Amino acid sequence: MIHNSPPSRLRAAVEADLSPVTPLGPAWRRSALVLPGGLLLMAGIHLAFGLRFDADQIGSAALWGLSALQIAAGLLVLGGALRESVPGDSLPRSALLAAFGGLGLWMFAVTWLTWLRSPTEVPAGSESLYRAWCMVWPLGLSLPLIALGIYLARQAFALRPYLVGALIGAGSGAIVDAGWRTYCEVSAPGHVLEAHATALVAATVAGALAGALFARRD
Amino acid sequence: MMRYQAGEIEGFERVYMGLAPRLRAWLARQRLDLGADVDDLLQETFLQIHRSRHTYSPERPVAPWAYAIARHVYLMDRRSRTRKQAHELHDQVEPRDPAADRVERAIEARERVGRGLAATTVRRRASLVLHHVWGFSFREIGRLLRIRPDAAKRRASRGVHDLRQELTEDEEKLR
Repeated sequence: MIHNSPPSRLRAAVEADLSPVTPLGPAWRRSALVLPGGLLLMAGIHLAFGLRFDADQIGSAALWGLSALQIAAGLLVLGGALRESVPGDSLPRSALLAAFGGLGLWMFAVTWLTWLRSPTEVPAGSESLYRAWCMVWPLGLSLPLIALGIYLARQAFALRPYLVGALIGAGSGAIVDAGWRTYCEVSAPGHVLEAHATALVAATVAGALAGALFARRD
Repeated sequence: MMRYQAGEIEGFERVYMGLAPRLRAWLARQRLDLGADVDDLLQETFLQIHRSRHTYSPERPVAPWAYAIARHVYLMDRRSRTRKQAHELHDQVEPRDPAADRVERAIEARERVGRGLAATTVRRRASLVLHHVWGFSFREIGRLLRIRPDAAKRRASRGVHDLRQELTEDEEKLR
């Protein structure tokens, strides 16, 4: 029974540091804080780069509808990351597989659908330029969202910070790619999977690194 | 738990009383192999629970949340112990083989004697080696080197003197 009351040193340490705390909100509500940032980035992409020339050919549903769904998917993954950052709320392996694999499949499906509606290729001789452009920009634009996500995760107590970071990176990458695909007029699967998907993978890796370094305050 | 989150020490005490026996038992089961101090781990778990008490959501059961933190504390402790043990193993000096020690000392002595012999003259070295190493008498050495036996004896003696002096200097250098 001696263990049923806290040891005096522990009690004193807790008492010295005891103050009221506000419980964290649910993960979905916290991940919604990323939405304005994502929409802002999307608007920024339009203002800076404009809309792809074949937007009419692709159609609103396939362009805006799929991008909106992709943003929702990215937010879902971000929400999963913020859920994972709370002890006892760890995502099961199947959910992790669904998050990472689902994003990959989604990208593949969207690329295929867009290609069917408007098959456009990279102009001959410009492959490396297009590839670099569509890798560096989305990755760079993902970084502010990753930073925001890591900041939100840091408010909790991530027991697997690298995983939280990877999910934040993947979610952020998906949100940015949803905006980027409304600008990049190339729908050739080779280009999309080589450049856009690489940017998404790079954002995931960057998120994992940032998570391992900054997602936990200890 | 809600009273604890509201900043009441009684809330913490109640949480402790409710969770400590179960967490202690769980930690004890995990620690069977390494024999760490379970009470230390339990205390560290509650300090971690305190630091992250805002992450507990009141509408959820408290046990999975607390067990996840206890598991984290246990894993961190195990990792740090494993690293420490690896460092200790790395730093530990390997037990020496006495035979290898003897061989090493013999090689070292041979090298030192070689250096000492090189410091004396050829004539003195010849008499010294023939007498002290090969066991010839000074008469025999005299016949071999075509010198008088007392000259052979003198050369060997001076050779020993040179050798001793060289070894003494060598010893002082080593110190």
